[in-house]
Amino acid sequence: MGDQAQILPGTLDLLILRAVSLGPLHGYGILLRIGQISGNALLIEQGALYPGLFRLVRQGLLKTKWGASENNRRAKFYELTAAGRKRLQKETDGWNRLAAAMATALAAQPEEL
Amino acid sequence: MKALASLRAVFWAATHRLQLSREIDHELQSHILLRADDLERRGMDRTQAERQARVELGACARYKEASHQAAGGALGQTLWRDIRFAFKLFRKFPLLTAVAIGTLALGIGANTAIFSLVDAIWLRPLPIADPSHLVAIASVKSHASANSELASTGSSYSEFEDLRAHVPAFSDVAASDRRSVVLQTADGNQLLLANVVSDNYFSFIGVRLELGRLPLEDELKNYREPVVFLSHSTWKRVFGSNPNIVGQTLKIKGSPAVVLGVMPAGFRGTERFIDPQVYVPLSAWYIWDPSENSSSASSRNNREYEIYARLRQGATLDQARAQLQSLSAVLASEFPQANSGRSFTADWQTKSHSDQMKVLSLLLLAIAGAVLLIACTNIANLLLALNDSRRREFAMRVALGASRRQLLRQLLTEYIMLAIAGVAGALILAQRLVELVPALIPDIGFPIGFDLRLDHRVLAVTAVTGFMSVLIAGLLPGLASTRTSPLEAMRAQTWLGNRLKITARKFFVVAQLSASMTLLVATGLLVRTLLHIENMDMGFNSRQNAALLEVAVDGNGPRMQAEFDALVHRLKALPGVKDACMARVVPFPDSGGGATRVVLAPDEVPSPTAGTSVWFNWVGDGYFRVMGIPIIRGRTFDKPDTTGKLPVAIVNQALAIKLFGSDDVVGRHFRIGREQPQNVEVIGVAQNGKYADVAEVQQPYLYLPVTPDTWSNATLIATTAGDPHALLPAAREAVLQTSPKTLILSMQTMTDHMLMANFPNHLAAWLCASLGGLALLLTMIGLYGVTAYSVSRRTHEIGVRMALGALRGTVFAAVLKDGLKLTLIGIALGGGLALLVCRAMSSLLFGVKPFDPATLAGAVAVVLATSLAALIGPARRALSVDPVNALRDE
Repeated sequence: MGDQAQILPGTLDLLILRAVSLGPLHGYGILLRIGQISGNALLIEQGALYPGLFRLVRQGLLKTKWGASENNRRAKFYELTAAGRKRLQKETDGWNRLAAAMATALAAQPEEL
Repeated sequence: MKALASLRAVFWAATHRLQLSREIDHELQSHILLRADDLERRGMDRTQAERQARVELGACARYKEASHQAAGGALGQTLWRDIRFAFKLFRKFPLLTAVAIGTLALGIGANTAIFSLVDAIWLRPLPIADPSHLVAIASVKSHASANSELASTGSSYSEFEDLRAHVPAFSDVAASDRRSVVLQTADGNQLLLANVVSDNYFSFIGVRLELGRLPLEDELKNYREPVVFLSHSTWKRVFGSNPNIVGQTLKIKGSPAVVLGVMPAGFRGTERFIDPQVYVPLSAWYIWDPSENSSSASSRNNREYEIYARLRQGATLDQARAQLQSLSAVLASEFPQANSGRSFTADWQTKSHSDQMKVLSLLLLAIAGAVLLIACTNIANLLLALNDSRRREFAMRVALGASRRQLLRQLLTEYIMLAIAGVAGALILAQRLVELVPALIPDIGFPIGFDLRLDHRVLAVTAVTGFMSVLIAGLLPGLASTRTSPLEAMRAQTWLGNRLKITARKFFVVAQLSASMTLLVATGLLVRTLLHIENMDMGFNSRQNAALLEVAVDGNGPRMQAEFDALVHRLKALPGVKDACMARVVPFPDSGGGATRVVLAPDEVPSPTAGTSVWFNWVGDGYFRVMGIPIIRGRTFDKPDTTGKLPVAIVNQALAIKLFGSDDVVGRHFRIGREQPQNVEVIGVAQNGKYADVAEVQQPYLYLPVTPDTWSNATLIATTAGDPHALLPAAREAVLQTSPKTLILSMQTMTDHMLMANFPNHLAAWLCASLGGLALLLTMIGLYGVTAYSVSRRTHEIGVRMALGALRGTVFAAVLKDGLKLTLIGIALGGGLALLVCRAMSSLLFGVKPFDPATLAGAVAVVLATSLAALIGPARRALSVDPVNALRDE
């Protein structure tokens, strides 16, 4: 567990959107997907996922449907809405710009100043 | 879009609290099972896997709560908490809450009732198609010399046809006239008030019938039998809402008539005060009465019809007026005898209500508004007091981190709950009041009265008024009490805050007092008007106990005369009856002025436009004696007039002077009629009186004896020493026994008849007096509250004074002086306001000037006396202050 990073505040929503953008998922599936796409590098407390999901639904970025899981359990599936897809695009761009800027800033050497 | 979705989610969460929390449970449960499945697949045993999954999920309850809030549930929850808190608060201050809700209910309820009245009088659009383009047309005679000419603004049927054909600005024109018809049923005869209407009336109004369908104009002309349409209430009352009534044959006016339809509920045509019971197309009427079916020039003088028109799309009222002007000119030159000096005027139907009713409506709305204002200031005072006693609670909440916004939200919730309770109370109260109104209208056997309803319009106005009132009343208390910094509020006294609040409260009370003062003056003037009218000399004995029966006897000529004689004779023999007689009408006929005759002065040359048209009456033996009308000169008709000599007449003083320039005219001759004038001899001069309106200028009036060619409709008058109401059924019985075929058209006592004649004055005085009383009551509660509050705030000061040796009398006087100062300021302001208001309502006043010192003095006395009564309590409480306790309190 020691090599996992706590996620930054505000990034959970982006991760959820990204995870769901690859196909409809239930809550537990989203957790697994985030682990998978981040190479298990990000630590999310499992329960903390749900307030985030409800918030995104309320904002109209996700839509939900109850259905059966791969091992035939009843589960609630989340899917991106059009607004969610747009938001994901915007947040990804924003994040990339921020990350690039951060990386540049942190990599700056004294002689470059 | 997003905001909408979010709002929907909040709403959903608020309304589906349980469902939402169950859904969250399900989802978390499903998460645990899925995770456990995974763990199991990795070789853990099931029970342990589930336990592990639960642990990994974390603080379940916290996430549940957070999910709930994230889904928008937070708002619903806080709302619920605020509501519960408010309930707790109201239970803690039950008296204050009850007074606040009661005051609100009274204030808003009075407004609801008045609004529904004004709505029925003129605001509510007529229930017909496109009421906004409806125009009322009147035919006005210029330089009219008598009220009788001024009053007749109707049009003849020929004129209706002219209007239809020659005014292109109108898309259609309709005519209607009120008549009465007799309906014969198994239970006997009954009189129905009929609207006789032009054939196109039905397509003109364009409503959806309750039963049947609207007929086309041509269709009506082709019926062989008379057809009628029933009003909704007639259908309900007489035919028990029979769903198969359409197509059935009734017996009306002695012949069969087929019911073609039933009008929708609430439909009264263009009427407001009268509810016509049956609608008869003219084609049907002509089958009953073929003689009327002529449009010759001679019938142009029968101005029976009220005319309404609908403005064509794109046309303006001014265009219509110009076209009416040119049509009037053409008619005047073509038919000088009927139309000389007459012109058509047009105005929106909504504007054609009588000015008196309009002024009355506005006055009532203004008064109701003032009452509401007084109620609101009382509520503001109560809420200030309520918040004051919660100062520590507010301070505690602020200290614990509540934001001002949260405090305001809590207050808003409380106020909205008060408003809901107040509005509910107001509606119940208004419903009661509206049910009471019909009792104010005397029973004259006719379907009269306003159509008062608490419909969606009234409900909307009530709700808006209610919530606005509470929010406005709560604004100052809310802002004032939530401003407190915790430190300041925790201290027992905040001088600045108190000063401000006491000043605000005093301001409120002065406003209340001046509003009450104004209302009292207005009420006083209306009551004095009413008293003046009731004590006025009408020229006849209008205050005697008498029964008035309007009857139609069967037959004509000598047989009719004999029939009337028999009826009068029978009435005289009834126990308790002092005297009886018959006449065509009694003064102040319900229908207005009544029929007219043209008289020619001795030197006037007969011509189509010569002469004066005057009101007249056919009166039987004893009329002047029974009615108490003094004969100044000559004699009455009592002695039989020998046949063969000239016909005779009695004139009133005004007519004598109009004809001969003097009232010493017994034995002189004048002529009646325009075309073939007939010579008549004056045998007596009667004293002037009032004939149609208490405010009318002196009108000429002509009395003629009953002859075989008079009408079969007349009024029987029987005076009694006892209760005239008790006489009515006996008189009715006697009439029907003596002459079974006689129809009783209406029955009323003289008192009710005069009440009806002055209905607007009675209504105004009654409503104004009750609203004024309510206002005064609310004001006194306000004054009491403020004085009591300031005494309780000054306990310390009073204690010090008394400890320093102030006399009890001095303390008592000081409290009274403070209260009376407010009263005097209120009286002064209210007096000034009253002068303005009363000038605006001068058209409702009669026999009393808008500036009436006696009324003003009376109002001052009433306000002072009630103020004193409200002040005595708090002043005595000040006396009972114990200096030792008061000082220790600090």
